[in-house]
Amino acid sequence: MKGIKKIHIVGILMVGVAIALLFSASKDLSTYATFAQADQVNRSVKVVGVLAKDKEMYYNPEDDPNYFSFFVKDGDGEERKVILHDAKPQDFELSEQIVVTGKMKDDVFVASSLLMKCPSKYKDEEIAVRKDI
Amino acid sequence: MPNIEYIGEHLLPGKIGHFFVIASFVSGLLSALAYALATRHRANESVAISWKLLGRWSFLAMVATAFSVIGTIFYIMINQYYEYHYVWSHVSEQLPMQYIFSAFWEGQEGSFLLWIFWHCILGLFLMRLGRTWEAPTMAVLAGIQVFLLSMIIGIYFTPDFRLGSSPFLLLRDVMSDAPIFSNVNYVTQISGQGLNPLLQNYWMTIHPPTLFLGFAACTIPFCYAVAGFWTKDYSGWLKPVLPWSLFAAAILGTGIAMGGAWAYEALSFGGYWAWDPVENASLVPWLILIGGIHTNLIASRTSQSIRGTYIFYALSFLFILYSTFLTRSGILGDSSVHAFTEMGLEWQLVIFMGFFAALSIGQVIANSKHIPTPKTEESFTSREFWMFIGSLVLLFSAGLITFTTSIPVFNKLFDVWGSVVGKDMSSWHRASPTDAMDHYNRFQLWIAVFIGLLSGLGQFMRYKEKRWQQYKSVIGKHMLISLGLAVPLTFVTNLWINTPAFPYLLLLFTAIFTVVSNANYLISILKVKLKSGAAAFSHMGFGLMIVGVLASGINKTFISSNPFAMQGIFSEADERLKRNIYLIKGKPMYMSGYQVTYVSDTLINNDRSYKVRFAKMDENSARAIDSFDLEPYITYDIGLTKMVNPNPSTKRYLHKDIFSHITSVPAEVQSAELARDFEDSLDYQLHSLGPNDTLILREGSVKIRSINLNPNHPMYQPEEGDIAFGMVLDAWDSLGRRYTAEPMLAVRKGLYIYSYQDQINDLHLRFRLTEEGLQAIYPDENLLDYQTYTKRQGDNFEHDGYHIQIAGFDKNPQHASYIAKEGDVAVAVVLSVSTADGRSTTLRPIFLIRENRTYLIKDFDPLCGISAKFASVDPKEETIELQMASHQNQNPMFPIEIAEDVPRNDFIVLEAIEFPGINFFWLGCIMMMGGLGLGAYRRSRTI
Repeated sequence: MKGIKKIHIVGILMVGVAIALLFSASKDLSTYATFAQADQVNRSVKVVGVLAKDKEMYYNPEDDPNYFSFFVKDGDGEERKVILHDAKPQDFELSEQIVVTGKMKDDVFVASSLLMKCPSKYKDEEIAVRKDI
Repeated sequence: MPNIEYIGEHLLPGKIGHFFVIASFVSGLLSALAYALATRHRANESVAISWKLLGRWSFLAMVATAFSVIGTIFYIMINQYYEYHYVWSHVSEQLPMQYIFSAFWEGQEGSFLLWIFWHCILGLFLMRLGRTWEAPTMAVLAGIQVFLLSMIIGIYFTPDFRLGSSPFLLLRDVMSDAPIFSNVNYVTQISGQGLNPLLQNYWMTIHPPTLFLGFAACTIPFCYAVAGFWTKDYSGWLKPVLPWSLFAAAILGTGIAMGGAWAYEALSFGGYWAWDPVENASLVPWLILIGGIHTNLIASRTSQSIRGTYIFYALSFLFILYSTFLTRSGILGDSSVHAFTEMGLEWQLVIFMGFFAALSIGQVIANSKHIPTPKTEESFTSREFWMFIGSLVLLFSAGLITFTTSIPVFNKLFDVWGSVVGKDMSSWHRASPTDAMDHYNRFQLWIAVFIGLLSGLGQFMRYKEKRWQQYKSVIGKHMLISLGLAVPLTFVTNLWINTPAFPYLLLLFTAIFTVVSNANYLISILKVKLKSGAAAFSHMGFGLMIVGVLASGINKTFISSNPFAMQGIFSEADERLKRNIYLIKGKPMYMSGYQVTYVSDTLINNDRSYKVRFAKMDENSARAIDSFDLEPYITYDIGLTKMVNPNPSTKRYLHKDIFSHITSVPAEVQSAELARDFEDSLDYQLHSLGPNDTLILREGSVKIRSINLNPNHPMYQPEEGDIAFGMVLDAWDSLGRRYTAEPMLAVRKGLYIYSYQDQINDLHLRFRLTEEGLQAIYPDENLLDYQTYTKRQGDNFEHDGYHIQIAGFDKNPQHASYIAKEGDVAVAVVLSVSTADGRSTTLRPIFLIRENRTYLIKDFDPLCGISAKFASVDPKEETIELQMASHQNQNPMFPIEIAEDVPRNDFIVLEAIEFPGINFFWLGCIMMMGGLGLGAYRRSRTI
């Protein structure tokens, strides 16, 4: 065992652990998908799109303060209804881009979180508003 | 763009400012070179000293010019020279002066200057305190400063290729296509955009300077590390660097914690930490720096880990640059709440990072043969061994966080590779975890477990342990004491926290263990000498912080859920989805043990604050046992046309916080535009109601009670000459409860018609008057057939089916069309009028003598359909002459527009969260940073 120090053994062990951890962490990563792809898989995905401004946006807190539905047009131009079980984010109409995380359930995308980008009229930089569940 | 001679521009400050930037850059470069030559010629003292002097003077010149740049920017900002893009972007007339600093560092160039500023200040201290280390450390610092200055130098090689982005660019150069620049006098017509209202708070004033001081301070350990290897004095730098590292860790840590406090206090994120990429970007360098401090301690005591210390300090600095790259390149666009626009300088930041990464790697490789390593290796029983493991664990933590945070960077790298090999790599793209909080927490939990155990145990271990056999029993005894206290304490604490799974319980135990063990160390080994207790304090702080994280994280409860109201609405959604509660003004709601009432709302300046009363209910007696008011508020823009953001309000107890913020308000409250859209979306139906008609609607019945010619409405500000009327409406619901509304209409200057609606929320009705109503209310005087009566007080008489009694006289008459003047003689006769079908009213026509002329001011009642004039007085006979006319239509019809099923406008949607034990988190943070600060102070005394 000459020349090999304890610290080297520890080092090798730690590198092993690090690789295992990174491998395990990488399993958590999600993928960007279109609605068509989200239809195919039964797990949570992220869809990047824009708000379909001509479609109905529904939030009536008197009926349910935790139900907000709207339509998103994904990168392929496909429009789907999205439901968020939360209050309607402020300035939602102004959003330029929306990233929704969630799953398809029948024809509807049920979002667990929503990230939107808004142009601000106050500055040329952007403000984002996030809603997480 | 044609050449135009513009009027009124202030071009001189910009030219001076830009000159200062270039001068600063050049003197920084000169200082770096001079100090580098002083280092190179360190063997030859006389040569070295002259280079050093040149280095010093040029550094001072750099500082002076950099400060002048900052001064120039403040000058153009304070004078509001909007011809400068930076001023236009960040300043406006309405910006309160107290936010001028915030406006300065809101932009990218300003925040680089803030960083440069701190490097200047720290450089002056380093120059003064560095002694033999002055030349090499200052050479590195000045070099880094040169790179930073290059970010704002703004030199264009071609129109698209530039070095740095100047803060002195003119608006007309940045937005050259804007039509306003065809006007020679454009300066007088423009106004700034001002500071984002979200940033107009004191956090924006204190957080960035602290964070950037932390960033700047992280540079100094790196400077020392490079200096040590450069001068081949591998161990000499280990001691003087320590106070700097501890100082950097204390300040950067404080900056990060302030960011958390800002998010928690003023923003509506509902927490202090979200593992957002931007938060991670500043946490990672801090974690590595903490690791570096530990290897540094090992190295200065045992000469082990000198190379490790170098690597940790270099990584800490490089990750500061990486974090700058992440937050300023726009690469995080899809994954962060904080988003930044691209500055177009990504390549420059990459070169910045690449240069210092290459320098560090090169130095480590070139020196690896010469770094002294002790012959004996560290033993398992020594403090240095476990401290080193601890540092590696911190590095792990940093690595894992960086891995997930860097996903957008990996995607970009795949694309770059794809463009090289000509392949579409988009299938390789990955997105951040769908539940980021869970992802990070799951991994970092184990890191924290290790750190807790190591910092609890390691304190008692000794460097270069030689007499382990004798010491074994001592350490064993202390461990037993610590365990003996920690186990029951964990048990008790867990009764409160209720950890849901074993890993959390284990973490709780390790956190408490490190608190107890470090307290034990402080008492038994250090004999309560508090000034040597810096490390013990920091570790106890860490433990307390973890207790706070567990308590507030695991038991964070959305108390704003009402299980009764929610049942059956969605079958699958679980409890945590119902985080918002709908509150109607004045109607108490029950939620999670509280009775919550939205009491009132008030608009003061630009804030509309909502008073929400929380009454904690006793479960058995259903009586309030505690009551408090929270006042979350929403902020509007300057013109009150649009809501900008909601602001939370928190009730603090020692053991918990109750945090509340408004997640939704009625459209009308949000913005003028939405209010209009909302009004347009309503389905108004025109109804005509007679005095005795009752209109049956879906949710109730409506009847006119009276017509008010002196109407009031919260939005109506009467002006002289207005013709206005209000209609008092009674409505009944199916249970016979009565509600009242009074919509009104005003005609101003005979031209402008203002209609003020009114709403009965419980019946979802909204009422609006139309101008046609005026005709029904104000009869055409020409068509009235007045009959004259001569009567006395008390007389009764009939007129056209009306029964009229002269009830008396009023010497101080009030009338919608009469404004009293001095010298007036005005008398009203009070007439009690009743109709055959039982309606009645009182009329007060006025007889007025003003400046020797008489005026008759008629009075009328549109609902009863009668007009009266007080025509003359005969004082001798004590009679008066009255003129009465009934309106043509005995039963007039009043038009009114009614919308049904109108959403309520008297509600708020509220989110309320209980954070138990959050004060442990803040206390822990303060102790940790305080400990680091104390350490920095102590070490600086003993260099």
